[in-house]
Amino acid sequence: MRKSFDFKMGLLPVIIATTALLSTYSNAEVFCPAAVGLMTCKTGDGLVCDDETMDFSDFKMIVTLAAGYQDQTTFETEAEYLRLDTTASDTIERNGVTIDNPLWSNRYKERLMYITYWEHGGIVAYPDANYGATIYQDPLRLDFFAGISLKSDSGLVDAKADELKVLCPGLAPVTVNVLFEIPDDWLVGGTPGATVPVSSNAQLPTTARPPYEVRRHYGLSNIANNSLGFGYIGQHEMGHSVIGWIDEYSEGALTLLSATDFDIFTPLFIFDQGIDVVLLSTLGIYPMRVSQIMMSNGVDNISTVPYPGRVDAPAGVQGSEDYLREGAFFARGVFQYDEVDENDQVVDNIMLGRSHTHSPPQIRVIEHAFGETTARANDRIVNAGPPGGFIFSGSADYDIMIYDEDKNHTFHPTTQYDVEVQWSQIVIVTCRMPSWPYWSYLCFDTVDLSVTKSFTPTESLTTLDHNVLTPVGEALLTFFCDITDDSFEILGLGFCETEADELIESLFHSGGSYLPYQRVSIPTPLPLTGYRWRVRTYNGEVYSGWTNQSGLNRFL
Amino acid sequence: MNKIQTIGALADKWRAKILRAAVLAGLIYTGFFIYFTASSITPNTDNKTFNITSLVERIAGVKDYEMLTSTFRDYASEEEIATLEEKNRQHLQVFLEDGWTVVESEPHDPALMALDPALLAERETELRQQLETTRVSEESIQNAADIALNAQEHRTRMAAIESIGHRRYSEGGEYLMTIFETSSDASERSKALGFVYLDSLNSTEADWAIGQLYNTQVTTDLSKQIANKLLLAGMVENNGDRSFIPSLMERIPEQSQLAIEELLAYTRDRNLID
Repeated sequence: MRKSFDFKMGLLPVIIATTALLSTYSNAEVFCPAAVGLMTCKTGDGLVCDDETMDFSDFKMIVTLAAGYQDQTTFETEAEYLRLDTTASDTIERNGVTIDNPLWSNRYKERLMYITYWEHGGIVAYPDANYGATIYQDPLRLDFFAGISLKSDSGLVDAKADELKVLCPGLAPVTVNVLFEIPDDWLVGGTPGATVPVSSNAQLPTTARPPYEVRRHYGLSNIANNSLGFGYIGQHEMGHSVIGWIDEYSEGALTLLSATDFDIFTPLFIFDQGIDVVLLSTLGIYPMRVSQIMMSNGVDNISTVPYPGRVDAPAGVQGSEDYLREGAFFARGVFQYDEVDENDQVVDNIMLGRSHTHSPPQIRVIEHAFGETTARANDRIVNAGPPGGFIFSGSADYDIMIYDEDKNHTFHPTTQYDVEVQWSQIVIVTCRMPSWPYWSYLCFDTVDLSVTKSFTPTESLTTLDHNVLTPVGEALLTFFCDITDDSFEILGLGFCETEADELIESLFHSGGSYLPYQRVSIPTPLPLTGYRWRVRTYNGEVYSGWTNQSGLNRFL
Repeated sequence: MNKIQTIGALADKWRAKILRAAVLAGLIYTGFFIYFTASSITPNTDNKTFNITSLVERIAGVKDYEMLTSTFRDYASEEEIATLEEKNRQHLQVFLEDGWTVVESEPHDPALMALDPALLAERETELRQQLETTRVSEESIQNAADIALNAQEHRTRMAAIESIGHRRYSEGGEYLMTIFETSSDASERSKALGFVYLDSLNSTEADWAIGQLYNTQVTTDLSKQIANKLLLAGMVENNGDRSFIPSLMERIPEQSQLAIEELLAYTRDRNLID
């Protein structure tokens, strides 16, 4: 017995060493000894992770989890395709000139770290699949990919990420991918490469559930069965989940609908903030809008207004670009950067179509994200409420609300609000008659006195309560559901059988969203006194200019 | 009465007259002086001996009453002065105790804050920033509407529409509908339309929207936007029950019916993915 025991203990290191030798990619022992044999790690440019030669804090870590895979080697091989395809040094043609592939994941590949973690689970869409991996019919995608979209459970993914962070100190992922293996029996006509096409998707950094630090993930179908490949999909989806961009194309289902048309649903979306918040928003005192929450919230490539840079950026500080082309996700009420070539043709980019290029605002963001440039000013701010007029407050304090598109910015969120309050007060000044200036006397005058104070932003998150949102989902479901019953079906899922809460998830890919609003309490000590206020932001690097003044007249 | 007495009496008589004349002239002069100068009495800003810092110091009681002269004290009591100063001091003290600090800042501009359309002539850029960075008050909403229709720059007009649109949902409707009918710019009309609050097909706004579908001046794209907006409103009003659609179809032109059917039939651009 004893000998046998010794033999097993003696063999274990050999097995580990053999595993390491057989696969140079499986080097978790330097990165996470506790996950040896389960975790792999390479930099974007192909170097095996090495804690002796690399400072891991310099890297943005991309973790990929397995869903549906039945074989570890297959999973790790296809995850390697993901790394290769998103960091390939392809050249592209632009304006007739051959240039290096400028895509962010290629340009900064030496700053990226691709980590895989293997865990066996059931086949996709089966109850025992890892992370609740399944598919569903996305009503917004009905006529494309037959509406089939990937879906995993955000909570389970985040929980796994938290577990790995405990297991592997130093692991700090910027995104967690879930790589889906699509079963062979889904092949259309049994032809390899002609699978049921599925639509990948991603969460935005601003749409997530608390309290997980790692709250971004996207689903990817495996390259072996997906004719689209990762080259575009991986970079596009991680454009969502890592950089925080929104699609710049319009969803066909939202043709000629304005994002602001959906503002009628705002009370339902902010329901969990409390009835007082809903009421004050509805009354227009502190107006919130779902169009802003969805489309102008920490996103740096589109906005609900064509000129999002509302305040001047100080000298030498870059401000927001103008977004003069209408249509992004919604066909109306959302705007994006208008880039055209010399023939006045729209220049494509990774979030607009299938081009492996970036628009100038996208380039600015990634250059800042990887430390090449300073941040632009967080100049997308509005004195959102109250909108002026008299307030009937019996208290000595009153809340103002700021709408800040950059409050939840992925890379330069607002870290400080400076609020200035001003009022006019009667003071005694020296007066004299122009006709006899030698005689001076004291008289009354008014003077504007200003005070300022800095505030730290507070996080506010609205959870999309499916119970509350069910009426919205049902209305939208009916709205988008085809009159006919010829919708594509797979695994028993029919378009009109989509649950309302699934539809909500298809819109947001999330269970919640951080709000772009900040309320600040300011003193209003005197009744029958008019106060004025304005704000500016600081994002840790630069200040924005000030907004103009809003009035706040305390009546009682 | 001798000659000397006569001369003395005459002198007394004339002295009294001269004195009365002098007093009268003095009064007249004083009256004119006050009349012509009082209206031009203005605080002499050059002679304002305070700046913000000294003002605050004075209000806070650090440096007090140095400016007061006996002239003022003649018609402002110490109590009145003290009351004013104490009121100011206490007011500021609330902010100081809450961690606020006094700063120099530009005085407020009432005309700008009220969105006075007269500023369009010389100060459109400032007016635009006021619209873009603040929310319009109920009192100024008409001014914003005037700006939306009369500003020179597209950006200013869009900012005015956005500003009106962010009023309480139904409040800006009338102005937005007027802008839609009056503006000649498609993007401005589309933006105004997007903000018209439509949650019922039995509302004034719905009647107006349906009326616009019969307006030949409304482009096809805008007609589709209206039709889709009506459909969404009907869905909301009926909690997703589609039974209202036939009656809606009866109220709108055939071309708009097609727009709704097209949306319901759901066509997509197959060049776009994920």
